[in-house]
Amino acid sequence: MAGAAPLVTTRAAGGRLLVAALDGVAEQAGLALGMTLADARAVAPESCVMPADPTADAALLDRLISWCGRYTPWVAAAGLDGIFLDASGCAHLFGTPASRGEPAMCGDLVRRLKGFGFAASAAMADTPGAAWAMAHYGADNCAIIAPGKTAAALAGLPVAALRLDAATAGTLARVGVARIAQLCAMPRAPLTARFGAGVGRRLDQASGALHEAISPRMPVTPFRAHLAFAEPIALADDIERGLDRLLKDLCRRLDRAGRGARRLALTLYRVDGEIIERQVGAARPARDPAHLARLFAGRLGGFDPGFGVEAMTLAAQGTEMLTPVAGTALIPGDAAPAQFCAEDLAPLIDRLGNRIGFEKLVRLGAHPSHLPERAVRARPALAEAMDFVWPPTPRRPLRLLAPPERIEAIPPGDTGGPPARFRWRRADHRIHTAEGPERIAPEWWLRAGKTRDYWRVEDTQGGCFWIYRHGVAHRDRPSQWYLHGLFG
Amino acid sequence: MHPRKTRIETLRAALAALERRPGWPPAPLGLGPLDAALPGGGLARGAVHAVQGRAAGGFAALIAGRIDGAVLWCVDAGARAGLYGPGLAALKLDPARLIVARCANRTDMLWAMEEGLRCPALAMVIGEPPGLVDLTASRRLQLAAEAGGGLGIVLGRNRNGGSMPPNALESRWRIDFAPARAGWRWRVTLEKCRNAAAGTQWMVEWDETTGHCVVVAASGDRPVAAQVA
Repeated sequence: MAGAAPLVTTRAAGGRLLVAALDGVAEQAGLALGMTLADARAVAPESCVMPADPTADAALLDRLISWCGRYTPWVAAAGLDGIFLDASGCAHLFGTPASRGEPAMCGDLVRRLKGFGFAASAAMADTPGAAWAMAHYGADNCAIIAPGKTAAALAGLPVAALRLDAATAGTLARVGVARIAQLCAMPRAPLTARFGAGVGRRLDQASGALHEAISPRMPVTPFRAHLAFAEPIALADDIERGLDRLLKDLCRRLDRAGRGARRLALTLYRVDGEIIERQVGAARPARDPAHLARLFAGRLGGFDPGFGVEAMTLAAQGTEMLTPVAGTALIPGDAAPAQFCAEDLAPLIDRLGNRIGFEKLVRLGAHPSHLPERAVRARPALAEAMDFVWPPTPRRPLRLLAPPERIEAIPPGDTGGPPARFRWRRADHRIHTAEGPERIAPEWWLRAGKTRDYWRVEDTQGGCFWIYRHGVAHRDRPSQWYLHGLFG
Repeated sequence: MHPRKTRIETLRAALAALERRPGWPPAPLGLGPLDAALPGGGLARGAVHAVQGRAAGGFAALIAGRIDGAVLWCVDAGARAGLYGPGLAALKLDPARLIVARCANRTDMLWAMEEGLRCPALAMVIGEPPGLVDLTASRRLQLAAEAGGGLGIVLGRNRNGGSMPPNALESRWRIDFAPARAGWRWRVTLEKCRNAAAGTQWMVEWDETTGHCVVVAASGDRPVAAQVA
């Protein structure tokens, strides 16, 4: 850092440019947050000045939060420049066999962040408030406060370490309350009367008297498997093998809980801090490792492993109860051909759905409406069968155009019957035979739409169409004709 | 029976045994003359058939309605005309048995068809891949069908005529609308079929109100060979 120019970023406020952030060199040069840029330039003319970009900062913090998922799933943002990690039950997984636990995890975190180029400071404590205070105002950049020692550790810190706003902290300092220990010694009632409930609440949150919940950025699922590698891996085969292990682990847990996964998210943590996420879905809850591995098979390629992947996690983000069912194949000879067996089809639907999209796999469900376009509702591929079925209606097309396409009747005059010729998509069709009309009225309770007269017509080229006249025929004005369906 | 004919029959049986896929029983169409013309008395399962012509979709739905089990129909996601439930129900294909896959492109559709054909839980896979089904694509589909035992149908794009390029499909049909006084009629032509005589034509009449389908005697334009026989 020696010899480097101080770096500050600026934000505009009230027609002036203020220092929004600064680095360690700038701090040593005597610059401070909130200074005007003119003052800062006067103090340190060699400063490198850049405009602040809060959006990019937020995006960077978001990526770092995702990356911290390699330590614990319970990760959340702490203000604009900090991250909370709930490390309960995670710390023992980190470090060497000789030194495991919280110091190892904390040290690892700071070292890696430093490697990415961040000047990070971490602290671990009983409460989020105490950890925040130690990380921001503690002397050590990797402080561990042993359980029960919170009050002692916080006593000497300035009151601003309680996450108080600048005005409150300034007022407290002016009346001579500079340290947290002094604040603790004060009677609570006058404090609340003067500064509001905020000061007392922050104090209680830091000491642990008041619980403070961290809401994780991503919902935390109990079904999560983690795998860290001693050496970074980069080969697709190795990643697949790692996935197999994770799947086995996860499926064992799902099995014990009697649940199956509907959505799985695989996260690969690259050595350089990038993370790669892949998600797959299942149409029905599944916990067969081989089946789930096949769903990932097509999605593992096409990413850049960079210098290697050092850890991977697999989380079942949506789970549902999955009770084992006895297969019908247990009784040989009793295999009546099932019309539609959702259990057997589920693996196929999963494979298709993960490639072409689950919303593209539909079944045609019946809807009680006599309007042709409203009689069908698309339903999920493995939805339960419906009670309602269509009444048998003759003369319905195999394919329906949505919306109906306007056709040009030739000649335009209306004789009451179908036109002799029509033009559709720039092609002429001479009508050979016509069957109809079938009159379909609009739904009277909607008071919208017109009566339609449908004909099934065959043209001389052998095509078969379903056309209708919009509204009733009128001698004086030409009718509007539409093509609504195709037979064949 | 004529001794020579029996000998041919035995030879045919021996050849069929040597064929790669003797396992799957054929699916009868329930239309006497058509079934009689097909080897084994029905459409071969574990195989892929091509259906072309203006009424190809209806014929595919008719076949699907006559066999048991779930059906996968792969359609083009970009097509303006989507499959219509009541129309399928009128052809006696219960839409509850049908899964429609809207594939975005040809690659996805051929892949989805292969996956479907490999899946033993599906009885039938119908697909309408954009473009022509060439030798490679048809061979892949055929192999997938042999593995899964399903019945595959490729609907030809060239509805207005023209022929498919050489391919490895089991049979090729052409279905056209024929003029009918009432109800509707299809002119069904078996253009090509492995292990069977091709070129035969039938008139299939479909009674919409009863749902019955019968083969009627072709009157005017019967092919010469059929008249002589």
